[in-house]
Amino acid sequence: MKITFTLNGKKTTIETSPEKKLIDILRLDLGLCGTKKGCEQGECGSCLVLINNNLINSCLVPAFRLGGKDIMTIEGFSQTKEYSMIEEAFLKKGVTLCGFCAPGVVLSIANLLSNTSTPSTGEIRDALSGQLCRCNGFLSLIQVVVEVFRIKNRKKNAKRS
Amino acid sequence: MSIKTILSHKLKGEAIFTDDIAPDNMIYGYTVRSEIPRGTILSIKIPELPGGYICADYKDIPGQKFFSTFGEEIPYLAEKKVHYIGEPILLLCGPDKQKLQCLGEQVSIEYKAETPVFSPLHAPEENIFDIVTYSKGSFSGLKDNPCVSVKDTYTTGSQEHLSLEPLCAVSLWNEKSIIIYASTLYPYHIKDNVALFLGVSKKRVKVIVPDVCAPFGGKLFLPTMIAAHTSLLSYMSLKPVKILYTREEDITCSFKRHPAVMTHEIVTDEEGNLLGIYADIIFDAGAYNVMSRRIIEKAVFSAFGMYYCDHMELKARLVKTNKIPSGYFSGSGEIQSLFALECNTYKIAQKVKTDPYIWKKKNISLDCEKRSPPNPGKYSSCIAVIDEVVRISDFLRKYGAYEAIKKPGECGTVSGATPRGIGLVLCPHIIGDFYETETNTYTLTLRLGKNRKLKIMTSLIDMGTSKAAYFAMIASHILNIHISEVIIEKTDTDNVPDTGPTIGSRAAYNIGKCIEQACESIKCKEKKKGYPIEVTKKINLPVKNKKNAKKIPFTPPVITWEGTVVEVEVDPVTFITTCRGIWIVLDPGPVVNDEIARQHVEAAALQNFGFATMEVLEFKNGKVYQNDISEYTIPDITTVPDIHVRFIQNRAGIKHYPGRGLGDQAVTGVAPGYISALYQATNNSYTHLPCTPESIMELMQNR
Amino acid sequence: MQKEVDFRKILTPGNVHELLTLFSEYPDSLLFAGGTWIMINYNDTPAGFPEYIIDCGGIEELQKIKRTERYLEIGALVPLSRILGISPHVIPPVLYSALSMTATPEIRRLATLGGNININSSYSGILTVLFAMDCILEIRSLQQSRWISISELFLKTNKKNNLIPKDSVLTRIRIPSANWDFQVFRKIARKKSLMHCSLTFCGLAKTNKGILSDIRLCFGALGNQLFRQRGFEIKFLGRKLPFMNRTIDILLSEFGLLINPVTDRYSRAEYRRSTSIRLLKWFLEEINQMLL
Ligand SMILES: Cc1cc2nc3c(=O)[nH]c(=O)nc-3n(C[C@H](O)[C@H](O)[C@H](O)COP(=O)(O)OP(=O)(O)OC[C@H]3O[C@@H](n4cnc5c(N)ncnc54)[C@H](O)[C@@H]3O)c2cc1C
Ligand code: FES
Ligand code: FES
Repeated sequence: MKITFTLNGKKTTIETSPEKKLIDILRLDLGLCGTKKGCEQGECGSCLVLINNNLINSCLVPAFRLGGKDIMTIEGFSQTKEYSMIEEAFLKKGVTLCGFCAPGVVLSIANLLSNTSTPSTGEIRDALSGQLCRCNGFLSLIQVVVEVFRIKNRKKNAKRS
Repeated sequence: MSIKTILSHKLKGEAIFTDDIAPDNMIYGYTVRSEIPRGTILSIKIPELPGGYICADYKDIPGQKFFSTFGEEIPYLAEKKVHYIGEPILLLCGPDKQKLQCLGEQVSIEYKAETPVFSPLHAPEENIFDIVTYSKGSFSGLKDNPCVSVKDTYTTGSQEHLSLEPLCAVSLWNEKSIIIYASTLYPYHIKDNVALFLGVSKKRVKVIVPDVCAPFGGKLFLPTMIAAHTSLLSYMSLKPVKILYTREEDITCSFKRHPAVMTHEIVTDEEGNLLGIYADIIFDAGAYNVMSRRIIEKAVFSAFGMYYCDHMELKARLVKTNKIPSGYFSGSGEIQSLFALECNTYKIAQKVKTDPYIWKKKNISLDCEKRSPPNPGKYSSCIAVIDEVVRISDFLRKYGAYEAIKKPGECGTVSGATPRGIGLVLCPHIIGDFYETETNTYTLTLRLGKNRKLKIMTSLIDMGTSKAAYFAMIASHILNIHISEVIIEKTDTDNVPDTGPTIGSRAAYNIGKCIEQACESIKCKEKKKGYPIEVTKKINLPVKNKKNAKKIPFTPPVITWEGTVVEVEVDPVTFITTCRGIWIVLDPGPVVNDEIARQHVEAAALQNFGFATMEVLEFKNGKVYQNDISEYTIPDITTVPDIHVRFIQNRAGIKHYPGRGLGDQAVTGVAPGYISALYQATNNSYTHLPCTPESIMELMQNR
Repeated sequence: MQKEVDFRKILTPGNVHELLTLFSEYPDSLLFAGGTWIMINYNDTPAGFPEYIIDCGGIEELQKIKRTERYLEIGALVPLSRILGISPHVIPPVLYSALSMTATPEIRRLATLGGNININSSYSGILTVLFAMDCILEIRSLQQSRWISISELFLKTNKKNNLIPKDSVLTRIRIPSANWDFQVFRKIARKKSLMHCSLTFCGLAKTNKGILSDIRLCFGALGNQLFRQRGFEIKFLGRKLPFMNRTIDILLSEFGLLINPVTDRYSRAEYRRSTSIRLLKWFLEEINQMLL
């Protein structure tokens, strides 16, 4: 079937079987490999993308659900202002990552950023609970999120004054 | 790329992993595996294959049919005998993954089954891969005099690395040579073995390692097998071939941590002065012997830890069973035997009514002469480490308070107060690892260009930018250049020399040391010579007396100290535990970057915490029982406790960098700390890892 | 072997009537709600999806939440995250905790309440709560529409099958309003987001002038089916509070005879047995405590 959606701001039309998973469409058909595949079971969060600004596991969404949707993957998100804030925080904290879970982590933070103003540690933990990581001990990720919000608030205040 | 660019690359999802590589015309491979734990293959029936699909078995291998693992040689494809469920027998390849799976499931194999061995305790003599014994003084004679002793049998389970990136390899054969992309920690192992496997010269095998997720040394040898499989299929089909393990395949068919059974006994006099230690350690090696010696050496060393006394007796064995092979896993050997040792020291301290802190301080052997030289105590600040961890965790006050409220027999009843406990562990870590192999086999190259940009060429794999950062910091310190001017060359065997396996703290210590030496050479040459300056250095043993490396109990030249405190609370209704905090103090010498080092320790501690609490991996008739991520549970962000890490930076004996460890150094104190805390909280001695609420309940109810 | 994918048809009803018509026309079709369970279980295995898939995503009628004096009504296609999003005063605290301990925030955004109920997993904390609260379900087919209590449905289905009869659709869920004086929900799992757990428990109790006037005790993950027995609950009714220790002991040992827990990959029967007994004891003692 033919499906048209917006992908990272661009109208995209593809021909696919209806039950194909979004993750396979992204990785195999469109060559967008930033979205990773760790389990295909909704358990690991490596495949997270934003669909209509909601964080969703792309291994759980079939093609036929995509018509008219606005899909943002890490490739698109990394071009945004929000992304630069997140990157700034990561670079500042010097987090070490293998990079496999990183896109999912970044998008989870993005999602939190657009829904909350100053999250508590509990809220941060909850927001990142869909993302597994085996190389990092998570605690530095929590600090990164705190830092992201510090940067955001600083920017907001700078604008105001 | 410089380190900042690497991190930004990763965050943007631009890091390329092996599965992201898809050359034109690529087809997929599929592995048909043994369904029985032990037996002989009688016949194999293969369904009719449509055009474009081919199959391969051991007869199709043009060259060598086995690969090396620093232990025994393992067949790429089973010939007649199978030794574990999941052992590869046959390969299929073709363009459609679903069709391939369908065909694969139609392959029918007839076996003559033999009685499998699942428990190392019940294995016949011939199954012993390796054995080490040691004795000093007369341990058995100790009990003739009045003494206090604690003896227990401890068991630790299997553990899965669970790297988020599943195992994967892609091979492209082009009639003359082959290019292999693989998710591995040891590219030259693939290069050397695949050359022999295909019967071609090494020059014709090129291995490229894209970005890799391989926590805890998980992808050391198995990737070689997968790369050989894809290479054979590519060689036969003349097309690029990819094999990507499914999550289930990854969990059920990858090498694991060695399960162990350990009987450990400590004898003291009535004042608690250590008299003797006895240890009997049995490792379950699974079907093949991978790296046996190293595992045993580390276990033997750790069975005594820093308590060296006059009467010691030890026996350690590595036994073959018909289960998935055990392989390298960060802290291999140490984690198991330190668990037994440190749980026992905690118990004996309680038995002689001293607190564990006093007991440990009293019995640590700092007397260098007692140990065979070169001694581990030399640069140590192990007293400082234990003092610091006790201080930052407020151990003494908490320990006393929990002792005071402890009313034997009360906990476990619903109305009882919430039981709490706190454990203290002090353990040494062997640093650098891999001693007897570091005999000028491996090298690395540094090149300083005209613009004073430094290029580091090594086949070591950098998973978390941390090694890159670490090496860059050493180089920038010595050569006085900015970190962003240090570039780490991509891992491609055509461009980087063989630096050996990326395991444990070897990467940080042995290689870091070599980088330090190379930088010193460059510095000397810079004064006399023009650019570019290129220096290739051999990685050398830090052992002065090489013979010593083979001695038992093996005494490593460099160790670092870890002091760990774990505080635990037990829900008296559900027996679910809450970890109230973990405090870790390490003395790794000068720390290059505090933040990176801390993150490494946190990750290692979390893995050890998972091993202690929730990473249950059982076998049912030789088959892995928990076979996906929802069944094999690793800690997530909601379960990670507060981990407080401190470094004591003792510079004695160290010129610049590296210190005594870090890198992917294991943290081993969390598990014994956790069990000790539970011991105090509930008055029960837990002897198995992982210790789940189920196990806690069992003991509480059987009282 | 494999079906040719191009034959697969996606049907997209816009309202309940269309849905029911399509469903009766293609009885072998697959209802696709949030798809979280379907995408994992149908995966890209060779057998694959059936020929017709009915995508329920466009049916707004079934995505409403309504509140009256007597009940809270939730459309079958309401995602779990939206229920969590409504005011905490409106939704019973036990349901709130069961929901927030179900899967991850991302999965909750997709997974629907109807889907969770239909899977009929004894591990489901949500189901444990709904069963305890005696919620009623609207089940519809083209021929008939009826409200049926969840316990009646449990009686009718085979343990392993889906809860909703094959020819019908679950459309709405009603949770009766009741002022419980005590309510607790517990989920015992290695991580809270895990579906597979050792135990779930929902306990509800009401008192009237020092007498226990109603109690609900529901356990999940003990076996293939949720555990709740009205016959057992009745034994508590009319008792004077606080419970005497002896009463508690008698009731607990009766409870022990009623349950038959299983061992699986996640937990052991013995643990399930003794922990459910201790949880029950704890709940009864909590009631005593609160009265003091
Ligand atoms: C990673 C992960 C973690 C999870 N953790 C938990 C957990 O902790 N606790 C828990 O309880 N569950 C858990 N689940 C399960 C999850 O709650 C269910 O998958 C989800 O609720 C199903 O809803 P859905 O809308 O996605 O159903 P679908 O996948 O769309 O459908 C499920 C089944 O129900 C049928 N169906 C759906 N709606 C209706 C209807 N209205 N009428 C009749 N039939 C219908 C479908 O045809 C299908 O057979 C988890 C799932 C995942 C993937
Ligand atoms: S691949 Fe989608 S959650 Fe793991
Ligand atoms: S950094 Fe490797 S999985 Fe998260």
